[in-house]
Amino acid sequence: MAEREKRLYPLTAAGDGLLLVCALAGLAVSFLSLYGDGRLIAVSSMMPTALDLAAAQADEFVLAAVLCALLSLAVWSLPRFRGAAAGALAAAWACAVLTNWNSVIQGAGLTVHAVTLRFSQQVSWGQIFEYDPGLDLVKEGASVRLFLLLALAGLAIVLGWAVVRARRWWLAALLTLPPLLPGLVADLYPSWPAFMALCACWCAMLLTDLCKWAAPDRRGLLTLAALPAVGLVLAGITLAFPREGYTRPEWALRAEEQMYAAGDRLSDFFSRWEGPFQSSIRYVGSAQAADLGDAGPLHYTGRTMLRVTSDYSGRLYLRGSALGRYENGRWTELGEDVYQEYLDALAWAELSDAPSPLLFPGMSVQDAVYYGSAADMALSTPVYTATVEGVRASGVYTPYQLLEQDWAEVGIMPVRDSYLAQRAGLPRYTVAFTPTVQGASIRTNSLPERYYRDYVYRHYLDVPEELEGLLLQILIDIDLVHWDAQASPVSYAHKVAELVGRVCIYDPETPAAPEGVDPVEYFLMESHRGYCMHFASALTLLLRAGGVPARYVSGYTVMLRSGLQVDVPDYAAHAWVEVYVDGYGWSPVEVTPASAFTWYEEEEAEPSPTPSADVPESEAPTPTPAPTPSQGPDASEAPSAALPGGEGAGSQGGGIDFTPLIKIGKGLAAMAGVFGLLWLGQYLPKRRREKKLAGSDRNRAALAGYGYLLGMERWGGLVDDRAVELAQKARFSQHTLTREELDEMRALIDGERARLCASPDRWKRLAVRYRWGRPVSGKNAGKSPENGA
Amino acid sequence: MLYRRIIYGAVLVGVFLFQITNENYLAHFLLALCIAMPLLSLVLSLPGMLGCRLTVSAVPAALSRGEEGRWQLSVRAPVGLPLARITLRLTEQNLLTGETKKRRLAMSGVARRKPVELSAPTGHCGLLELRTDKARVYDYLGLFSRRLDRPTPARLLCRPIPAAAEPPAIPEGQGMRPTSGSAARRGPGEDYDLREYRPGDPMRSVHWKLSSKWDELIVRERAQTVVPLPLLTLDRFGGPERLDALLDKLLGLSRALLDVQRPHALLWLDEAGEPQLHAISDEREYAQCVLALLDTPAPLAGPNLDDRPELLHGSDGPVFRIHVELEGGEGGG
Repeated sequence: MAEREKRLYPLTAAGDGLLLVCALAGLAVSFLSLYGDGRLIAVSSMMPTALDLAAAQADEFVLAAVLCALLSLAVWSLPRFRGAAAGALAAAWACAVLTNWNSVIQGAGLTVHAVTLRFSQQVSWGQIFEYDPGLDLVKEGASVRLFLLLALAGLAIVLGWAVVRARRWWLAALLTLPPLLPGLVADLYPSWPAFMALCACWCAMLLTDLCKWAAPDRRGLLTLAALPAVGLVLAGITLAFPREGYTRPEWALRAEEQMYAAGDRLSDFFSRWEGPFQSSIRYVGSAQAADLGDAGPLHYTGRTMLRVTSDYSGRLYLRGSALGRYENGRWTELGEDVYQEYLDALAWAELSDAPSPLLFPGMSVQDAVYYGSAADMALSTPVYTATVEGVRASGVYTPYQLLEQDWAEVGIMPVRDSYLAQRAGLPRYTVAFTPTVQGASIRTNSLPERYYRDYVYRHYLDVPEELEGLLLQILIDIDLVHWDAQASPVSYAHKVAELVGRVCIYDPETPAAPEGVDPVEYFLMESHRGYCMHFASALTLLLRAGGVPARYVSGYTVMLRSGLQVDVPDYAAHAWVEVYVDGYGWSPVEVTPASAFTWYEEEEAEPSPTPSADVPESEAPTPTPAPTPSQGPDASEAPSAALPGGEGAGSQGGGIDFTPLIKIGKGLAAMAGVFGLLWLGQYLPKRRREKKLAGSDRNRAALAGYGYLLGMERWGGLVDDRAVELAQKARFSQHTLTREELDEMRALIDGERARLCASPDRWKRLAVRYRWGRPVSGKNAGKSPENGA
Repeated sequence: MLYRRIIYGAVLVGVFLFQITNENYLAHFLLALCIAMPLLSLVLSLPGMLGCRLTVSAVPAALSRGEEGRWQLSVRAPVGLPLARITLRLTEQNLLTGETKKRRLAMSGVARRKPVELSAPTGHCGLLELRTDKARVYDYLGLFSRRLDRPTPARLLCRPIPAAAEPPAIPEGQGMRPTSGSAARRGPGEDYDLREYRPGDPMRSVHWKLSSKWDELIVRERAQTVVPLPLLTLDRFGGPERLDALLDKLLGLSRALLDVQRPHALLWLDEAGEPQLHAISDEREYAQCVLALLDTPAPLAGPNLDDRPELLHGSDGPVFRIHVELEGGEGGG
């Protein structure tokens, strides 16, 4: 320490300077690229923020970062009076801030606004810091630039102390990471080279952490060695695992599943344990709610939500819960009190043992078969079973048109007209269904259905008052207000969906609607973009406005292969609409445009047994990802158990993807290969040289030795006169060199090698040792230039 | 470095869980970086770790009790980069008193030019030894380590401070030794001793006058005055303080005798009760004797020389025993 106080070490200063430059420039460019986009300036249709304007001048920030780093380095490296110098620097900085106080405050506000805006766009966080200083964009950009430059200068002072004096890597990380954290958390990515520069600074400081109080010159040397090495590693990682096209490794998905499965097993264990005072069978399920107000961009993880095995092949809709009440952008169930009306009606008609309305479609099919009203259909209506295991999804998901069965034995039971509940602790359930969809073509004469129909028309036509006029206006605009909707509700629904689909596009990146604005209204009138939740919600309300009972349903779509277990990933979650068909029950209708999806394209080629017979082929139900805010990467590359090829579908045995390990292995093998080549590059010439020098033909050996001496000349070696004399004798004399003369030549070679190996130039020494090896002769090995050859 | 390994393990587990539960590329990148960093650290550290050599020495090699002594630990690294960390388990022992002290030492950022110095405990005399029980060198992250060859132990002789003493007065004439010198060397005033005749005595030595008077053969024998050999004895046991005081006193006497060029001998019983006799007639023998006094353990309690009277008779002449005790020396024949 005392030694460090007294003088300035160039190597240390160089190392510290590089660290500071990497940290400051990396941070500046990372920050600008994370929250701003300089390219937006050139796009006339986009509204750039002030930070975008600053980001367009990233070069200026790099230059400023370098200057700040050098200044901070100079101050903190001073052998004396550095405290005073740092104080003066800080005072100058404070003066600059105070002089430009208004601009700095405006810049700070605009920066925070831009950061929160970017963050909220990414994660649908409604808390945007609103700030409008009332300036034009150019002035706002200047304020932001000034603020950021002053912030950078202030940070440089503190960071200089952390790097040069305190030498704490975590302190440097603590100072430079927080500005980037919101963006990184929100899955935004900064300019990768800049971020790598910042990472290189952290890693190099971490590597030199144990040596921070070593002799200053040695420490500087280590920093200078560690920085490029870290840079190489970071570049290697980036090249080995490129960010573009990254998909989460299969092993991670499997591990996550196993982790959650373990958690589920644990929760199952506790849910099965009912204690000494509980003996009744409990059913659990969830009447989910869907909040459009929180629905931001979609993210997927590929987690398995359900595991389905069936003897049916083809696509299947697995419905979860139906939601019938829309208030303030949120779908909820109608509730027990409302449903009591229907139960009261049934009780009045002494039909209390009537089946749940959820079973009406299956009953319709069974009635049709029984009464022979559709004999041909009956022949082509096979019965299938589906076994569903909830891996991570809560609630019960079943196909449509469930056939009558012993529900107690199955372990599930209908809850009102909304969803099915599962017996507590039941790991899986098997239901019988008939997939051939008849929709409006069949009817049941069930009396309960008539009572329920009345109930449906009373409660499933409600729309919020504030939206009623808007919805009617839209129906008028698309000329559907006079359509006899009730005669063919499914066709009507598809017609509405088609017309809405012309003006609204599917966009999984749709941000959340602004606060205070109804999401459906915003979707239909302003943004014109959304995904299944938006389409299903809007269409449900439009259908209701048109007089068709409809409700919002959430569930999963899955492509089944007969006899194979299929994992249903989270991105197969979906939302669609159920419309009520008189005499049949609730019939699903796909309303989300099909054209927007690529990840399911392969499945489109498959015969599509959609649950609605009235669905035109071009509008076949298309699975879309449901909003799962904590989800991740590109769904198109995520493993899908529903791929028609059957590979994913059939290989659900929990195999581990060794790709990352293979990649690491390849990297290690490449490294070993490089080292091996380096070793061979030294070993083979050395062996050849020794072989030649030890050859039986002494003249040739001496000439070879002379050749080596000449080779060493390029590295600064000297050819001794005696060596020349011996070589001439070997070459031109008719006599053979004596053994002593050959030994003399060898000694000359060793001596010269030893002399070169003692060179003060480290790199030269290294190169000579690699190229010519260490001196082999013990007595010559230690010869210095003075006493050597 | 255990804490670093624990921290790294925790970070690795955290990053691993992050990768499992998070689909972002950043999680993957962090995991790769977390795995790559120790390897990089190892690659950077390996040349230094493999070529590192440790030596231990004492500066100075010998000193008087209470003077400042230091152990020097030097590290020779083959590369210019500093070594991240070297941890040592050292045992410091006073071979005389048996006092042992274990020390742990960690040296971070070791550069080969600067030896690390430790103070040596020179409060008590004895031969001090510094042994390296275990030595490890670590990589730059402190995760990997390599055992170093143990260096040769260093020794530091901490000598007693001889107390100022006068050469002890040895009473003359108490020790007489018969001699058979020729008559020509006799002179007037020579002393004779009388005794009974023993077969083999020359007839010339018969004191006829007295024989006739006492009616038995009496021979006269010329007596020669001899100076007995000073034999310094001590009971070499007890605690460090007692030993310090005893040795100071003993060596003070020895030094005083040596200063007047009086050969003498030191006698003590070692830990096993074996007598250790050292004749001192010059500086070399004195130094050897001091070393012998200091380099073997002295028990807290041990055999007393008074119990071994046979050891106190000189084999080739009379000795004058000076027993060194803390209360004072006591002369005796």
